[in-house]
Amino acid sequence: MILRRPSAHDARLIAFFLGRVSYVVAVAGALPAAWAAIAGEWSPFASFTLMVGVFCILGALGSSVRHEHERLGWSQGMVVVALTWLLVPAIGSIPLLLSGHFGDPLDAFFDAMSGLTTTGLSVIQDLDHLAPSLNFWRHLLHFLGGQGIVLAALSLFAGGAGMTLFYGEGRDERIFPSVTSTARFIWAVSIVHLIFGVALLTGVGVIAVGLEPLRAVFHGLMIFMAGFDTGGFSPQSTSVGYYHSAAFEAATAVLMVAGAMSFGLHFALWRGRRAEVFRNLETRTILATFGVTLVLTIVGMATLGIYSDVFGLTRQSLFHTLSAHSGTGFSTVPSSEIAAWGGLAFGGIAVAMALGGMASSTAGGVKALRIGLTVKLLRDQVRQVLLPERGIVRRGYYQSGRRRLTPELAQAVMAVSLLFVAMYLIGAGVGIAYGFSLQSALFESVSAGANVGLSAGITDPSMPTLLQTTYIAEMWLGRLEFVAVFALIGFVVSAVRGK
Amino acid sequence: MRTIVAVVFAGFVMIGPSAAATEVGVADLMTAPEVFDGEEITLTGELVGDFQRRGEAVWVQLNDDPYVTAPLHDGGAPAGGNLGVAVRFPTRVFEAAGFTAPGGYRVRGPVVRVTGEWRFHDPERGGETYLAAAFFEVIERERPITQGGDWPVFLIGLALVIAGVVPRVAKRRARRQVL
Repeated sequence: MILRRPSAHDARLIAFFLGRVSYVVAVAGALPAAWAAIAGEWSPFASFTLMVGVFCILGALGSSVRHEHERLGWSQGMVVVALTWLLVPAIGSIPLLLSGHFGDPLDAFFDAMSGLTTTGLSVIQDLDHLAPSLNFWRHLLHFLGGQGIVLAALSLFAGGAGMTLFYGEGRDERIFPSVTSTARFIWAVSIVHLIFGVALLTGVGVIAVGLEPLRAVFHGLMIFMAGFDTGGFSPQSTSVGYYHSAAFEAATAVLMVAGAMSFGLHFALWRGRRAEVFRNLETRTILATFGVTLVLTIVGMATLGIYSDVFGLTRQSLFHTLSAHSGTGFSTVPSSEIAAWGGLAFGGIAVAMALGGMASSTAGGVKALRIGLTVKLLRDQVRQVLLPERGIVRRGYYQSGRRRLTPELAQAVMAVSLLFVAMYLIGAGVGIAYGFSLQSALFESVSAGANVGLSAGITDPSMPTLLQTTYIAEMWLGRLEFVAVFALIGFVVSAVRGK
Repeated sequence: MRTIVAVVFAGFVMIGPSAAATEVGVADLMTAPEVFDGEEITLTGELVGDFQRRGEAVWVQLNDDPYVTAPLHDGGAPAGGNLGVAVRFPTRVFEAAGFTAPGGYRVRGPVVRVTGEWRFHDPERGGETYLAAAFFEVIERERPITQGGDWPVFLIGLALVIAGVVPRVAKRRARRQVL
């Protein structure tokens, strides 16, 4: 096969769109800068100004290379997406690094990547003394990443770039014919949830947790961004366990469920089409897998004998299974305790993490739609074998309407699912090579690759560099669901070896 | 400078510290929390985050890590993540101390030595794990932390913002004039 070397035109076009995205992120970065200025947090304010400055310069450089009204091709769009998801955490890690709460630039980049990909694994040091504006930036990265940072740019300027950038960020369904309208709908859903979510968490924070009102708003905002965007960061080092409140956990659970739902499902609910929701293959699949993993976790926890009451056992099992399945990564117990679970409880949580939420949601993992389609494929194959020789099985499924299960779709589903499994195993292999147990290494790798954030204790500021880099790559690959990253690799190979 | 000053508030004594109380660190509790379940233990550390006032009790996170003596932005050295557990104080006992603020960005929180019963997944409180404080003494009061601005970084950033935004604004104006 002859590789076509990318032209200077390709590079200019990619640089132009990266510049546009940089401007959008500069505007987002101005929010924590304003927060820091208002709160008189001058050191973080300086570092945010530097970050915004770097994004502005990149924006100016990108904008200067070509005229704006040119269409972005499929491969160019994928490269833009893959590079955006490297560039934003790289520049976005500047304030984190300058805060002194990270040991080195790789640690800061790890957290920024974890934030943007809505993973939630963290190597931050002394989080409990971190400036609130920096905490806000960490959680805002969840919000930007969960909504889709390129999607944010899309809602402002679509041009001819829409489709390819949309799919590049791992989104599978357009709600409206126009990608710009879909992007705006997703933002509208998120803003409505933001208002109600923060109000709910603030109310529960004041009444049930006993927080002071202003602090309750702060915690509500942070936990909303981490919960609805299935991120998993928290403003305190003990995650959601900090609040010691079943009511607060319940409010958080509502947000995790909303975050793990596809925006198509949100749209159907907004339109009052409740019956359709339960006809969807994806909804049925996620309800089934959640039920199975929940039972596994409850039985496993009961076997461990660490809970002597039914309420405590059910509360912890339900919260952690939901946190894992939605890809959020909140926890109410320390990672040392999760590592000690073992057996069915550990397995239930790990499987829930690997499966993930719905397609076109803020969750990661293999995704319920792919699991549902894989099961359907296998069932159809068995039915085909059992039928008489000339019998034909109709291959179709219901997902916001009747759809055909074509061989191409089946192939794509199987390929991505296998890639996820391979990624989980490779990450686990690296962990094992560093002397961690198979159980812990697999758990942590799945958590990184599925963008969850629950930890068995491996993720730590002192973790080996290669392992840390592996988890960064997993977070990046998992969030973009491989395609955009492979396109970038292909682009680089073509640039080197193409003619 | 960071010498720990022992200030004992005799008025806080609810039940005197028992000789049976085991002095443990949060790291010990993280490693084997079930071992200390139901035992009387003593923990020393900084109260951080929020004072969660809930009627008869106040819940606070107690950190026992190197940042107790010096938070990172106050001259402390990087030493990994925080190590904290929950402490549930009886409100009357807690409020008598008159703490003004827990530890955070602007405050190094009060450092206390707490004695009480360690409850691992307490069935009476929905499976919560915490130290039910019976007695505590204040080792060091809370103190403010000030962090100045990093003005060279700010000026570089400002210069970059101007350099990045001005050409774009100028270009837009020029285009509007053409139209």
